Amino acid sequence: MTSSDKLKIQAFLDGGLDPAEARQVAEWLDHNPEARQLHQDLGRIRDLLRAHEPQAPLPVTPDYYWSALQSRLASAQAETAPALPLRRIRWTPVAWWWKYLAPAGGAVLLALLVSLPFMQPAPEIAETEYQGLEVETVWPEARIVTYRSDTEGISVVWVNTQD
Amino acid sequence: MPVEKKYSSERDEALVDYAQQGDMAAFEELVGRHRDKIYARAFSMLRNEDEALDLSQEAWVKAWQRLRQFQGDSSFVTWITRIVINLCLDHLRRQKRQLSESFELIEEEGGGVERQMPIEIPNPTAELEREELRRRIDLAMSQLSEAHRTVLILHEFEQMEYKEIAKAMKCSIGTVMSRLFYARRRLASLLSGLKREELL
Repeated sequence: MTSSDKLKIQAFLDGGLDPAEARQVAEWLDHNPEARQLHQDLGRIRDLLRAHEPQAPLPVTPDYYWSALQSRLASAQAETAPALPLRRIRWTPVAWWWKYLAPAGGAVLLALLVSLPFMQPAPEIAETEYQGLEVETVWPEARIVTYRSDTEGISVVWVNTQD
Repeated sequence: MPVEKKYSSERDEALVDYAQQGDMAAFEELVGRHRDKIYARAFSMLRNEDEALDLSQEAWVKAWQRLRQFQGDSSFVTWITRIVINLCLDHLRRQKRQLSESFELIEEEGGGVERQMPIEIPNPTAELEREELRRRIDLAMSQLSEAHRTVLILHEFEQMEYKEIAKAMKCSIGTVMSRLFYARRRLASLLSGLKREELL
């Protein structure tokens, strides 16, 4: 029996032949004891395996398995999550003006602050009275707050561009 | 009503529908039902607990990510099993254990196994209890090369056709037939040997 014959017998067993070939092999098996024996042997080992598939119990508890899987799912989701779409800003008329006024106001304020060290105190205020004076300017409509302390030697400007 | 109770009576198809809409509790129920089979399939192919755990979980992650692609052409368990099989095959290819397999392929080409010993399959009802027989089959399968074990698993346990196996293993149908023939004969010989050892 050739290797090709053996593989054909196996294919016959597994239903892998077309009807014409299958008929030929069936007739051959009827008249060839060696071929018939091989067919039976292959069939027995196939049936034995299918009826006794080895089991492999999970080596961890179901809870542990799910917990570990949840972590992997979370990581995978974080990696594949699409970037959040940029939120479109609705420019209402007031907001539209703020869009331009806020930077302009900030620039003016910055210029004022830069010039502050060069400005002299008012003459009627004594030097001693001026020491430690803290100036706080609040422009509610502009949402800009300045804070200056001569005692600390600092000036702080806070510009709120949010509504 | 507790979540577990709500889903435990549902069929897989319904759970898949829920999970496709992002319902993680439904997906958890699917994992609970099929994790043992998925792990067992990975272990049968890899013969390593850690790798089998890792790849079985990877299969579930992929299933979750691709769940919307599942159209129900096959059962859910068949679909997830194919995922884990493909992951295992990729893993085995990466490991490139060609050297150890080459020896067995030489033996296969020379028909050595058929000459070594006659086919003598133990009768499970008369000689071995089912569990013991399973254990022996498992031991015998562990002695096959990865290529022969894989083709046996895919054909006998997953009932995949020759052409499906060829596609999964990236080889010809002729190679699948040859490997399957050799694997069956070799396994029968190994089981005969185990039986003989028991009698000594």
